[in-house]
Amino acid sequence: MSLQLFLLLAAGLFAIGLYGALSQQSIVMIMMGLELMLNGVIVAAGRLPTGR
Amino acid sequence: MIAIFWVLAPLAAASGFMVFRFSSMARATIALLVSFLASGALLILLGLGYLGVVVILMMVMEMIIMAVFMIAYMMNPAGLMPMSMTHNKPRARAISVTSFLLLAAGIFAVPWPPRAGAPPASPTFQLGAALMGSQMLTMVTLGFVLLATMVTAIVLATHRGRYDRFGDDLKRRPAADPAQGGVGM
Repeated sequence: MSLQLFLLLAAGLFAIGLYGALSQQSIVMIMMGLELMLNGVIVAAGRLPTGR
Repeated sequence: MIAIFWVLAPLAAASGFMVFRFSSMARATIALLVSFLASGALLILLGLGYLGVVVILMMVMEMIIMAVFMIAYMMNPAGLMPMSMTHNKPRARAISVTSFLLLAAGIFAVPWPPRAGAPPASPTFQLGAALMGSQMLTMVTLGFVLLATMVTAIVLATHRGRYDRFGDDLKRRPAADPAQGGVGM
């Protein structure tokens, strides 16, 4: 599977989480946004070391 | 492989999106859990079995705790009364879309290098050896520090217990409270 697809998914998860972290007012929901950003980082970090 | 990716990746993204669309806090938490489960399964698909299982186990436990907090502390946990707990949505959306487009442009613009070197023989075994070998003392100390912190926090939070309120035989009525009128009069 191509690296670009995985990184695109990671970028999507990161951007959705960023939206949540910026737009939510309660601390628990901001946490959920941060978790989603972390999810994106996990996906990217899992795929990146294997290279192209 | 690629078929499983095309099932899991949209699932991860869509359930992540639904976290901020659901009104019910329990549903939002479960949507986030589904997103994490899908990315954990993707890690397993990549051959990172240990990491994937750790993500899945960790996130199941975390989301159970999160759901309890959400239902306990949110103003509108079930989403039965329509209310908005958001602010500045248009600008947040603009920032998020812009950052996604920038990241996507970077993903397709960068000439990604092929893998340099070979993966270690058994990374899970090496991790276990590091944690249980040279770092054993650190982990044991950390465990005791965490336990002591939890006990201390509970002791500090409950410095007035039922024996302070109702006497040694728990028979004093009304309870000896600084302010009268509490529970268990």
